[in-house]
Amino acid sequence: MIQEVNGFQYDPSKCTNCLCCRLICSFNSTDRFNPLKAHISIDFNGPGSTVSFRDECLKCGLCARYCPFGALVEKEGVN
Amino acid sequence: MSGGFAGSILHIDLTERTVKKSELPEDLKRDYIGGQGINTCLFHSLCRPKTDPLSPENPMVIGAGPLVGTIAPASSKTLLTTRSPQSGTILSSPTGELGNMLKYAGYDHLVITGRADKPVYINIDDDRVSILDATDLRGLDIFDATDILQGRHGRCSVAAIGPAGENLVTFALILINKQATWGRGGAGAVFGSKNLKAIAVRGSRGIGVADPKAFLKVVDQCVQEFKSGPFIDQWTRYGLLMAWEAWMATGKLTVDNWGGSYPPEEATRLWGPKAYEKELRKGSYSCPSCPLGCKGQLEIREGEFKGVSFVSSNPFAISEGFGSRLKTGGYAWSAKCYEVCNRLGMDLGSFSAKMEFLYFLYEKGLVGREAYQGLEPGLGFEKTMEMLHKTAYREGVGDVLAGTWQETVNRLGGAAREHAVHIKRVDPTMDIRGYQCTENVGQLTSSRGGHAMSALSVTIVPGRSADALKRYGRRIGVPEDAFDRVFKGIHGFHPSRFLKWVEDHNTLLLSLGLCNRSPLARVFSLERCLELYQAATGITATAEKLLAAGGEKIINAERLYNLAEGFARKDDMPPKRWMTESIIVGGREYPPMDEKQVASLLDDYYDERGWDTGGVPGEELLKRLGL
Ligand code: SF4
Ligand code: SF4
Ligand code: SF4
Repeated sequence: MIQEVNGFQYDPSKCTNCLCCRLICSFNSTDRFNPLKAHISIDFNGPGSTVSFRDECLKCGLCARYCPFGALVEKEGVN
Repeated sequence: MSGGFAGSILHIDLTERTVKKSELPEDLKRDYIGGQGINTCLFHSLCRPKTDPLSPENPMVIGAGPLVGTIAPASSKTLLTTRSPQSGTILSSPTGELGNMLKYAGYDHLVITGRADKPVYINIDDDRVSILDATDLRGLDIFDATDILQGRHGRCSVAAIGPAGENLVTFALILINKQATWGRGGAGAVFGSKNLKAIAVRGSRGIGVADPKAFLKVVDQCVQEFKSGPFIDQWTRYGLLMAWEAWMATGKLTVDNWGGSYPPEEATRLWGPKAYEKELRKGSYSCPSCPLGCKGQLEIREGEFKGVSFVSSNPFAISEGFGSRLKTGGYAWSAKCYEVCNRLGMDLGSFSAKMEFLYFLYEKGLVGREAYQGLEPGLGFEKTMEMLHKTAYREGVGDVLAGTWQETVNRLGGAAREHAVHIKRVDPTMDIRGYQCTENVGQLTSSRGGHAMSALSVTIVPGRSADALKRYGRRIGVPEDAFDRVFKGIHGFHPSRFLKWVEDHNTLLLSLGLCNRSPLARVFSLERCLELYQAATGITATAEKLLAAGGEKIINAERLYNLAEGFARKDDMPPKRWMTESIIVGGREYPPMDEKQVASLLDDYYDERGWDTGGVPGEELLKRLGL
């Protein structure tokens, strides 16, 4: 089911658990690639996967821009 | 600033129960690049001659290159290097997980030696490394053991074996996070021989790079180029099934112990892309940082096993192994066999080849009935489920199949030996009669036995234009002055000469940590590899040096190991059956390989490598490579 969170749309059916969203977010905020330090988190469980964001999220949109599968997109005009 | 590497090697001795951390030496980073390269170097320094693969003395080196853990596309390849109990050769097996966590915990390489006196697992949580009791996990299948460990240690990566590994089945595998494989070669039995049930790793430190701006720029270029490639969406949707038509045309679904191929129409109805979509596929799955996602999230939709779901690193293997060889039926049945095979922890290709072989002997009456130990060999779903269990637990004739090919044919007796199809005791994945490409020819000379790992290239699908082949060759580092000999022949390339360059490049990718699936490998030109390596590590190099250090040198080091263990040109020969019998694929008959043909393939490969006619690297070459 498509989820709308934090100004983003997340479609679990397209998500492959590639971690790119979390890798780029952590790199942007800590200069290191470290999914545990990302402000976005994907609880991967196939079609039942869910997305969540920490309060620290800067709404920079990088996570969506680096999602290779179009599973995470910015909702137009929100961010 | 330096980066890319985590900076340490972790040494664990299971006999002494000691844990030691050492710095990753600077010269290794330059001279062996990382991943498969440094693994090979560490293995060489640790493994004494004539080491029994299942003895405590056989070292196991796990390592991930300088790009692993970063956002470089498909940069998650993690190598396990050990002496293979299946082939007796050196084995470097790649997988798509674990390495990123290992590096986030602070380690590029993990060296495991010795044998624990009772079942244990290793838990790595940054600096906290413990060898813990695994008595409660013993006997559990891989999925259950992994679930327990992930419940116990939180968001960690788990590499585990099942009953087959515990029982030292020579083709036992290791699964990471229940799906990424350290498959053919029997690494699972090496875990088992060390009384090691699993490794659970969690890291919280992350990985930095030397030049962040330059690094992201190359990554962006790689991704842009990747996206403009052909058939990307089909790759993501179907994985290796996307080349279904080509597989049917080249007879990849074999039957009757390499005696023919499965009728294409029927195969397409049962396991083709449409059936896959309708009956099994739930979604795609990626190794960390991979924009291709060739793996499959699967769920059986119909029948008795409706609802069984798991992730597979190669859904095409279901039709190859269980469907066509063992006649287990459509996906509703074949996928269940695959799930059980994964849970028990066996390599599907080797298991299915052995079981099909047993039935072949039985049907043709080639060995005495007592060899079957009371079992009536057969094919189909029920028989396959029975043999999966018998083999993993080494019961009855299952114990015979669980050994090496040598052990299996010795114990079966009769005419078993002449009909066994293997290369250095490893089950090949592609026939060589008919169309020849780098993949199937590469199985003959591969350092790990009949496996196409480093030989994968665009030649696997016939019909590439001469221009496309040369473009690809240029990108992976074939020098212009080699073009005349490498790009000639009816298909526009010389399979065994081109093989040399393909292997060097693919091995470099694994030293860096990159995946070599063709839509990615085409993006990872030698120049791109250099840019990624330099921006990540801050080490300056040249393209030629990179290819020599991370690719060519490693293949030669592996060859030297195998030669010292007694392997020679004779072991690079195809199985007898491929040399004496023809095969019919798609209504066309392909004759057996003849001696002259094979001799010239090997001669040309050795020549391209700078080896003598016995396949021995020359002094000058070794000196140039610094071996
Ligand atoms: S919007 Fe920016 S800060 Fe927020 S999760 Fe995405 S990448 Fe991180
Ligand atoms: S980048 Fe996209 S596909 Fe990858 S894990 Fe994040 S949301 Fe899923
Ligand atoms: S292409 Fe497939 S095997 Fe390679 S990294 Fe991506 S998901 Fe893994």
